[in-house]
Amino acid sequence: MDKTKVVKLTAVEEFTLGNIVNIHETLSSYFHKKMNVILDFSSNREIDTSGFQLLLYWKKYAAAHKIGFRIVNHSSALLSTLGTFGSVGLFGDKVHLQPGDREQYGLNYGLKKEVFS
Amino acid sequence: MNLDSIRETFLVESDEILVSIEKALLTLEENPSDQNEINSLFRAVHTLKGAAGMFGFQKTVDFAHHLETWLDALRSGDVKLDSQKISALLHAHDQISELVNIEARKGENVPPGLIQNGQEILASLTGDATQPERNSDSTELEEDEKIHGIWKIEISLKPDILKHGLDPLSFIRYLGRFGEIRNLTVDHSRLDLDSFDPQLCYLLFQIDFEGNISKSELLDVFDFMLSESEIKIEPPARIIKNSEPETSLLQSNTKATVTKSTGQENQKRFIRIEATKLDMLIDLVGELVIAGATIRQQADHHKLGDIQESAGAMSRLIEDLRDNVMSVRMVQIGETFRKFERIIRDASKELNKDIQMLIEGGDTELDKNLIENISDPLLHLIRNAIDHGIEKPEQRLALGKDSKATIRLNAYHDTGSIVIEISDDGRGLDKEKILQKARANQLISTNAQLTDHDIYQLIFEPGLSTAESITNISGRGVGMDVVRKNIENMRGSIELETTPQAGTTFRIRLPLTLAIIDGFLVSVRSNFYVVPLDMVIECVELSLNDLSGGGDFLNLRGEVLPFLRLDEFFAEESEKPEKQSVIVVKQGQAKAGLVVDTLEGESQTVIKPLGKIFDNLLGISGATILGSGDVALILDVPRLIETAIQKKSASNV
Amino acid sequence: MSDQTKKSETLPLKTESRTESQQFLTFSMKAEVFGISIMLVREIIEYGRLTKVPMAPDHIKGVINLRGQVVPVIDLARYFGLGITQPGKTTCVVILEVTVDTESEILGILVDSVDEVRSIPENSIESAPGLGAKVHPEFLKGVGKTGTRFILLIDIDKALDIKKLGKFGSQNESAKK
Repeated sequence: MDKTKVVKLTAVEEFTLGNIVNIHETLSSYFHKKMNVILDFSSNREIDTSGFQLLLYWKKYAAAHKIGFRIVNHSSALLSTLGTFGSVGLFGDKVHLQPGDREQYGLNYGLKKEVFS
Repeated sequence: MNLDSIRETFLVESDEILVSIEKALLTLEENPSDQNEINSLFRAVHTLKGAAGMFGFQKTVDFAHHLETWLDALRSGDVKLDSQKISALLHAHDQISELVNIEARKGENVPPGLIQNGQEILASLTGDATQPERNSDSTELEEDEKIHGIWKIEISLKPDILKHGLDPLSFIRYLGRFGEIRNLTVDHSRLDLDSFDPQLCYLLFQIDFEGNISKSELLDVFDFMLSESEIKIEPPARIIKNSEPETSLLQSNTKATVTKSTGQENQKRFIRIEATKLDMLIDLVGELVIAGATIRQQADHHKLGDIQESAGAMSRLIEDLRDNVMSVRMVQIGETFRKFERIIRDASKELNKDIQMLIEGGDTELDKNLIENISDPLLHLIRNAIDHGIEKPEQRLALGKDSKATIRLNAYHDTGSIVIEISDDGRGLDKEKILQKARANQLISTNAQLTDHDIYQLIFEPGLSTAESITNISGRGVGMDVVRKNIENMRGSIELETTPQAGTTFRIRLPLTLAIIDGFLVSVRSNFYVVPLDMVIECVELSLNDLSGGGDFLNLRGEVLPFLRLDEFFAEESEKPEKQSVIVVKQGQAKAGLVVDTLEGESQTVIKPLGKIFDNLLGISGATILGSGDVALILDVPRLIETAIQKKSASNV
Repeated sequence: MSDQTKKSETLPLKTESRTESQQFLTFSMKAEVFGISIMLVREIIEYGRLTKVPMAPDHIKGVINLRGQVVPVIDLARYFGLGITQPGKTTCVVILEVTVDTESEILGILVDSVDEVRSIPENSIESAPGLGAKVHPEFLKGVGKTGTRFILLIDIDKALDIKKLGKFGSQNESAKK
């Protein structure tokens, strides 16, 4: 990963269908310039299936193009969504869990690291 | 694990089920209206059907299915059992056994003759040549039928679903309220990197959902989504064992769900391991425990703070590892108990006695090696009970007892050991007869004064059998001494309680496992000894003020405690240290004290055999190697105290 | 060969043609030279830390830790009635593998010093003298002659009979009184 080409972005509060086109365009502009992206989710409050799918798309894209794409500071909304979709392992980002998070977010499956094929 | 071993798993399970079917039928033969047995019969057939379905043994499934249908009618009281039906059911049992043999064991096709045979059996059950809904494909699931198990749900979302304001995420969360999502896989293969519209949906979900639910209820969950997605639901292939019988109803769609994936699930649940590999693993863990203790001691010795900490952490991990490995070896004793059922049945027929067997605590677990070793002694005790203990029915009636005698097998855990009880409600032991025999065989002198307890213990002496007639069940005069020896070889003990005319209870006490014990390390002069931790009640400093009764007893907070000075008893000649300590140990119901020089603390102890040369040595049961490389001897506390008492009384004579 | 040696007590030197020899580890206990068939010897270790086993017969010196195995050590001199072996600089433990009821058992014997391995031809082994020897002939297979020396050849089956060794000897009982 080339350190000079890293951008840190902050995810919006509502990472949902209403904003999804805008978010997608923003992310596209960086990814298409082959910038490595760090996406901070600390201020996020909501993420729906479309938001999840978008992240999944860029994860897949980044893997295919050997670009770094890291999600940091997972919000509880994001954790809960990833938990339900069993995709913590698929996304592969470091998640800091507090005691009790596992039960709260139902992180019982999909925790094993996977590789995009 | 390959296919063969999966099949092996099925064979083992089906053998167990067949045994339980036979057992239920034998009980029903006596009491055709026993609803419990009818239920367990139904469940057994049902479980077998499910298992056979999972492995794709179709003919077994078909037959079991039809049998199950009839049993369900029996269960709900629509049909009744009579002797003719019971024998038809026994034939059905044989039929299943044969089908399993051909389909699963041999892997061959079932010959038409056998299928014909099966239809005849079913016909004789229904009393009707035309069988009810005899289309083997008619196992379609009822939509409203609740089934407890793992449902497989596949959701394929239509692209526009998001735009129509539906969020699949919330449906899946809603599903979670009805049970538990065991697994969910997002299939993103349709997510194309080159043509992606973030407002369209490209996802598929595969969900393993566990719950007690019907197909129609599941469809209700996704009701609003139905037009925006394709949902496939596969009912559980097999009912979870512990489900409530009244809800775990009847049919499961075995035909359609015989898939590889369920087979693999089963693979995960059971692995059969060669016993020797397991033993080797346990040996290695034993060595690891020692090595871990060495590192810890060295770290402590050299006062290496950070290494002490890591060594401590490692020790805890090793302990966990040990516990885990040991638990792999733990086996339920119920299986062993049930083996005796047939023996009791056959033996009681032969001797014209009417005996029932009760099993309690069949789920108590103990070390596999112990189970193997305990089987023979148990068999012997049971045979003794049948032969000597239990009276003939007419004798029982004359005594005002139920003509049907009971042999009860019970197992439970008690402070670090396993207790197995074999009780009968027979005539009890005859004190006088034992005394006569013992005198005749010169086991005791003619004028010896013995307590009742001592007299009864005599039956464990070689060459003492009290049976008047020798049958081929027992009574050849070898036996009880061998039983005791076998049990003692496992570091166990046996005692008995008996009440004339009311019965006898043998109580076998065994350690949980053979290989490792938790011990308390002490030293006496330069020697180290390990006291099994489960014997230790407390440790106190020996103070001269507490001595009373001429030095034979210790005053422990007002309690009178007999004690044994190990240094004197072990004939240590070097000088006593200024301070000594007392370990208070359990001695049956009582307590006793052992005086030692130093308390070294708790330690995990891998038991090493002491060698045959020490077979006659009472009071020391084995050895262990300490972290320092020194050998410590493991004290057999009950035997040690017993020996001490004997020595003392001998020297008093 | 073993058959033949077992019978050597009763059939000394009958067959001149037999010149096979056996190898013996020789060692001394209480100024007597003993030999033991090398086939039974597993190793020789220095006498070191030994754990006394209380309540055991006096001729059982204790147990040692032999690479994780707990091995009993016998004071054979004591068992033979020659007196207690006092550990010194040259004291060794000879580790033997003996067979008991088809199972092999490891045990060690305490010796004052280990000498060497010697070949002793069959025809120079004589039966143990019934009288005059310090060691009871029952424990001996015979006496081997090498040059001017006599080597007492130990009959392992009899001298190290585990069942007898484990019992409290009469000496032990009398010592208690």
